[in-house]
Amino acid sequence: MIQAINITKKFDDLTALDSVNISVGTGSIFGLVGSNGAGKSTLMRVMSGVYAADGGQITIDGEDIAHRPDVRKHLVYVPDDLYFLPGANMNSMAQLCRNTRAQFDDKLYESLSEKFEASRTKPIRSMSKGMKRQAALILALASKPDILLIDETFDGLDVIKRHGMREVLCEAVADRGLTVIMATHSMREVDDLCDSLAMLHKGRITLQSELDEAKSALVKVQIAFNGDFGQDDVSFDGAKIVSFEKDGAVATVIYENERQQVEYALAAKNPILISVLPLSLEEVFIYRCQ
Amino acid sequence: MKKTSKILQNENLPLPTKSLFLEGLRQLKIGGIVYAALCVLVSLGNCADVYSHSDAMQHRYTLSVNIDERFNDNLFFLLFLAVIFLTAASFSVMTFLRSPRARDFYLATPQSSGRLWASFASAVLAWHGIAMGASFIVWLLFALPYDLKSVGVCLVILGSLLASTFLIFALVLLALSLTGRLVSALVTLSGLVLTLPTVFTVLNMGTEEYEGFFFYEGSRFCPDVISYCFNRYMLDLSYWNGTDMNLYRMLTSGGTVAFSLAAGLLLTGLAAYFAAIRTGDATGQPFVNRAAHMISLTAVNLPVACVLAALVYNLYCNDGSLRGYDAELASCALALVGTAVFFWLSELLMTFRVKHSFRAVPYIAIPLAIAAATAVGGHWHAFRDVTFTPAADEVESFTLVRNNTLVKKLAIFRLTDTYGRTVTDNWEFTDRAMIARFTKMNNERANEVKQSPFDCSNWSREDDEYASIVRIQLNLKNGRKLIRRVKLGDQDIDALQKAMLSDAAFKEKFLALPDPEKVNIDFSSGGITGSEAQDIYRSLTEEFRLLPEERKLQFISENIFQSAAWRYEYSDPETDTNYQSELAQADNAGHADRYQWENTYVILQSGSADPGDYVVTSTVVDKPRKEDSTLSVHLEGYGEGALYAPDGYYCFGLNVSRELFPKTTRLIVSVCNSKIDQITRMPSHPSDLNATYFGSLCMVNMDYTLLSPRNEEYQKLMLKEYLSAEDYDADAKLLRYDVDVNALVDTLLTDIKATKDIDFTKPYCKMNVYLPYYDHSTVFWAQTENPVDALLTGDAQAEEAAANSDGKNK
Repeated sequence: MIQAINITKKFDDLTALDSVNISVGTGSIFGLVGSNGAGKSTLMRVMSGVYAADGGQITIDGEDIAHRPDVRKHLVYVPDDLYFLPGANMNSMAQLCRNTRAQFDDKLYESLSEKFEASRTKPIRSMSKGMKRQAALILALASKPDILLIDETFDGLDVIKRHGMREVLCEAVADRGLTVIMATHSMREVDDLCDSLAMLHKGRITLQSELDEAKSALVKVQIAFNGDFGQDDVSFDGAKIVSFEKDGAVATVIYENERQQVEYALAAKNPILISVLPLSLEEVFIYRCQ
Repeated sequence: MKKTSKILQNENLPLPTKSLFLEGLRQLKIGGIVYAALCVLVSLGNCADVYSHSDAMQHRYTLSVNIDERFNDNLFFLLFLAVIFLTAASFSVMTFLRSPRARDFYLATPQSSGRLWASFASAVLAWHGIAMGASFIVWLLFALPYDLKSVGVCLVILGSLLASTFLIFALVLLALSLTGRLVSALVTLSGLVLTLPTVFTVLNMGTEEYEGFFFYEGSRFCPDVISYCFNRYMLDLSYWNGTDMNLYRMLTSGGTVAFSLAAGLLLTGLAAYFAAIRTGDATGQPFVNRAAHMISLTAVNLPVACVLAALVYNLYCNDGSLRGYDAELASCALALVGTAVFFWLSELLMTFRVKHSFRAVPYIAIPLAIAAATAVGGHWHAFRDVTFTPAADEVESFTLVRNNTLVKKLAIFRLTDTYGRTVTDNWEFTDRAMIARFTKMNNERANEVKQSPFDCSNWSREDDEYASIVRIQLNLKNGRKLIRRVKLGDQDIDALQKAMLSDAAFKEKFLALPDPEKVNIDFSSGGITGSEAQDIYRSLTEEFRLLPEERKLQFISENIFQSAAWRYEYSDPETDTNYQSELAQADNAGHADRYQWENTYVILQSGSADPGDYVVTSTVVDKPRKEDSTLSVHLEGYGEGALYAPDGYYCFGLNVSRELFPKTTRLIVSVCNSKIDQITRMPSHPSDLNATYFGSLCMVNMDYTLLSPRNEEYQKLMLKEYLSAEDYDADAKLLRYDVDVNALVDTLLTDIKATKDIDFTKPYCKMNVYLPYYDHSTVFWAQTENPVDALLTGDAQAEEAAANSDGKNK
């Protein structure tokens, strides 16, 4: 398990992270989402040990990684902006990984390269963005980490490669308890892959829960009444209306309440139309950030 | 032990790890191989150059080369390559210090920043060591076939190079550790590299023309190769050029090695500290933290601040006030503005923040304060020392200091000494009259300086063609030592000489040759065994001991006082011609191009002429000279310089006068005769003591080409030029017969042959030609009767004249 406990990180006058707490269990895939500049990459760097936190601590199985670089031996970080040695190909990068990480698995490296048809001898500088990311992921997975931090996991990968990579990640999670933390803008990815997620906004966690819980945290209802009606008409005791949009006679309302509670309360108002609509994660994210 | 092990396991300590070190080696493989190859090529080229020079020389049984001059170019290029490699390799392999991308990769590994730094730094150093080691092997391969002693010298060069380049490497590491961006790293590095030379230059300001606490006038020794190269090659400062110090000597000096290692270790430690404490967010920022920022800014601006300080200082020192120097004042004001602008620009360049760069300008006070303190400190210390006026009874003794004391003390290799000088330099003379004289000179000068404390020009000792400048050290009873340059007129010199020789113990030691049991003597002439050399030398010391004092003085004295007493001359009564020994042609009996260890003495040096001197001697070897009263057996094993191992001893050839040393001369001839197959053919065989005019013990039967085709044309031209020059030396016997010199030269040149083609049973001529600006003589051989005829004609005339005179008398 990896935990971020009250993490604070400042850059001059800017507080990039403010008392961030997250906890990711072993053998799960955790999604870290947030708006631009929310602090996702900063949090990833703090968790991977690249940055030192100004407050709080990062623990891996209870051990603080600060001043203990060896604790990071089970952790691999794949940043958004990838680094490769000048003029390197995958094989020379593999050698670099071997020399910097003890657990590099050559067989896994070879099998992943073959699976994704990645050329191990072609210069990386001549690869496309997607191929570079693919190469970085292969090298990261071949290092056999227990914790994998990926920033913008599938950026640049085509559909097929994405699918393949998802499969590999899920297999690793299932087979050997790999813990994956993905920072991403893509809610689709989070929806497809993650078990749990956290939403980061202006350096603070606004939501952290299991995926289903997150989805069910908001209820979206389409409702119509005879005659004109406003937001007050759709409110009830304890109602937390996140959004109210009326288009003609029909209003779309989003509540941050239990579904049953909303249905029951609205039914009592005798609407001529009431329909609970599915809410995408993206919508949850957008409304959470507002 | 457990505690040590525990400490070493601390991941935060900046220590290298094996896997990262190997990774560093791997990443630098191509650059390292190219670097090593270039070093080998440079060394090969230099050694080939050395080899070709020795090939053209007369004697080739030792690798007789002037090591410091020959190797200078090599060392300069190697240093140049080292600077480039160490900088490029460090910047390349330690990208995690300046590239956010690389930082994200490396700092996420289970390695601390300090360990990464240490491992990669070690890898750079390893490749550097490999390249230097490869160069070392090249030198060895050339040196070993000739002289086993040169192995030690090669080792010393290697060690010295590694020490100096270690200092440069430390500066690179510090620049990288202080900064987080490429530009700020490069600018900081430039500042750090320039800081040392300028600080030393400013330290010198206060001691200009004066024996300061750090530097001594005349040699301007500065224990820093960077400063030396900067001052000599970039600034071309004249006070460097007037010294014996060249890059080789600078590099191998003990002071330089010690300073380089000490400063290198200190700076590396500082760099390691900053590398260990820096966090990941420093990468991408101009500097690691505020302290690093200040260090960098100060280093970058200190050179400029020092220039300003120098200007102000020089202005003030001219007069003690600033009146009447409007132009200079304007220069200072301009320099101040320029310094401020430079400060702002450097800050802007390193931070890319305009507003911030303006705010940083007040911090210019830091480098200015350091520069001012350095200049003032140097001046104050120098002034304090210059104006010290001891009483005569406070002085216990005085010592003659011939060379830069600091250099002498710290040099791994001593400068070549003649025996007499060695005895003199270390001797503490206690003659009270001379002490009183020197003390008075010092105190008069000190009082003059006190009158105008800021007029530094008053401290200088200008050379006076009518006087000698001698450096003396006054040894006070309280242990303090004052080194002064004193101007001595002829009377002073006489008084000094008398004072020195009035010291019975000194006189006894001075007028003696080193004890044969305590000194190794190496006759570089090939063919003489060690025991034969020892026998010859032992015989010489025995005979020398019995010589009258005046003759001893003549033999031993060197030109400490610029006197001519040391010249060894003899006159040919038959021709009434004054022949000077080759020694007399050299202006400096203790030629300072060589490095020796203790207990090494040059008894007499011959076979070398200073640039500007030229001698043409023609020796007709097959011409019997019945009336010759002097056998001059030249045991010169010609060598202008040599690669000497640390325990090598060297004694140049002896010009042994038969008159002065009959027994030794006989011994020498006996040795010569025993090696008849190896030596120049004497006119009679075996050599006749009474008939031999001038012989040379040299290995001429070796298979070598005297005239290298490559420089034959050059040598022809040089020969012509010097034989036709008006101010040739009168020793050239050819010329007294009004021979058409040019025609003779042409004849000789066409007759020139390689030794193996000479038929020694027929007349032949050997000429030693010393060419200016060419550091060894060239020997020309000619199978020709022409010069013989000329000389025979002359001698026949003299014989005829003598016979006629006898006949008349009868």
